[in-house]
Amino acid sequence: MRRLFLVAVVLATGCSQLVFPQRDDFYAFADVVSKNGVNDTLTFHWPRSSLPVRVWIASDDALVPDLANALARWQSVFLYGEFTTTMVADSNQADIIVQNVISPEMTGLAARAGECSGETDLDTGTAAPLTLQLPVHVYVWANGTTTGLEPCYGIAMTHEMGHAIGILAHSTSIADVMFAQPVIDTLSSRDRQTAEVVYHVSASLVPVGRR
Amino acid sequence: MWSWTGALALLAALATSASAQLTVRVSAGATTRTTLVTDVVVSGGDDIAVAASAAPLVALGAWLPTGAGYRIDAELQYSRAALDYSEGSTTADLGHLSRIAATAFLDGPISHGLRWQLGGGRIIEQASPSTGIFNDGSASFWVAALGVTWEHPLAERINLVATARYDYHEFTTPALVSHAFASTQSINRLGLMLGVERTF
Repeated sequence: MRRLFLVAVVLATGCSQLVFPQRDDFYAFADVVSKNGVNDTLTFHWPRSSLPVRVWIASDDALVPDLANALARWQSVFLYGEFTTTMVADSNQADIIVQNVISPEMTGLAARAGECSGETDLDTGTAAPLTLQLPVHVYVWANGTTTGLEPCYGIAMTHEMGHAIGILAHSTSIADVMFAQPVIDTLSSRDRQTAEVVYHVSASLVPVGRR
Repeated sequence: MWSWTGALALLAALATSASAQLTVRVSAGATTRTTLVTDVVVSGGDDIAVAASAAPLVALGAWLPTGAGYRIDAELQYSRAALDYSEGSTTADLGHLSRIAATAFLDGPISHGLRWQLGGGRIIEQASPSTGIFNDGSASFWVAALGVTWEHPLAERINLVATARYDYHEFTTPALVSHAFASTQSINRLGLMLGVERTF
C-alpha cells in the first residue's frame, strides 16, 4: 500500500495546465449609429437559443459552394459551439437568406471585392430592447463582369457571413477578410480573434421574428 | 496504433496460452474526471470550462498468473460521457465524448481478497459531434493507472470483483493546438466497477 501511495503522490504532483491564448488582437466590431447627435453602439451575436442558425440559399445559386466554404471557415473559429448553422430548404424558415442578386436596399454593411460586391442588411429596431428583425439578408453580386468572379465570390461571401455572424464593422487592415475592400478569402488571426470576442461579450441586439 | 495492436495481441495471448489458468472478467461501473479545458476569451470575462460528466463504463479484461501471487492483467474499457460547457451562468450541451482505453497491469496481493494494480496504456477520445475542441479530430494519450480490487468467490472458478481505479493523463486536442493553446491539461480520473470473472 505504501508503494501505491507513493505512485499516487508522484502522479498528482506532476500536474500541468493548458495555457489559453490571449485574444487581444481584434478590431472594432460594433456598429455605431448616430441618432440625434448621440452615438448608439450596437453589438450582436446569435444567442445559443437560436442555434443552429438556419440558412437558406436557392439550390441552383452560383454562391452555394462559396456559402458552404464561408460557413465552414467561420464555424472553425469557435471552440465551444458558439455558432452553428443548418441549411433549410424553405426560405420562410430561414434566419439568414443568401441571394446572388444586387441588393435592393443598398443601406447595409457593404463591401467591394473587385469583380463583385456584397451587402448584409441587418434590420434593427429603435425601441428598447434593441432588436434585430429576422431574417438577415445577404447579397453578393457581380460588378458587370464574368471574369474573376469565382474567387471574388469566395472573398465576398466570407466577408458578408462575417457580418451575419455579428461583426458589424469593417477592419482597417487589408490583411483581414473584414476589410471593406477585401482581397483574401481566408480568415486572419485578427478575424478569428474578433469573432471569438464577439461571442463572449454581451450583445445589445436581440434577434426577433424567428419563424 | 501500435499500442492498440499490442493490447489486442496481449489479450489474444492471454486467451490462447495457458488456457487452464486464463481468467476473463466483465465489469460495469461509473467514472468521473477533472475539467478538460479552462479558458477566458475576454480579459476580465467569465471563466469558461469544458468538462465530461460522470459516465457509465463497461470493461472486458483478462489475466494470467505469473507466480508468487502476481498476475498480468489486460483490459479494454469504454465509456461515453456528456460534454458540458459553462461560462458564468451560461451552460450548454456540446454533445458526447466517447473514450476507449487499452491498459495492461501488474497485479499483486494485499490481503483478504484485496489486490493492487499498477499499469498503463493508451486511450483515444472522440466527440460526437466532432466540433469545437474536437473539430480537428480525435485525441489519443498515454495513461498511467493504479487501482485496488477486491475478489469474492461466488462459485467454483467464478468470482465477484470490485475495482476502484485511478488514472492520469495529459489532455489536449489538435483543435486546441491550432487555436494556440499551449501545454497540456492534467486529467485525473476515478472509476468504480463491479464485475464477474471466470477462470477457464
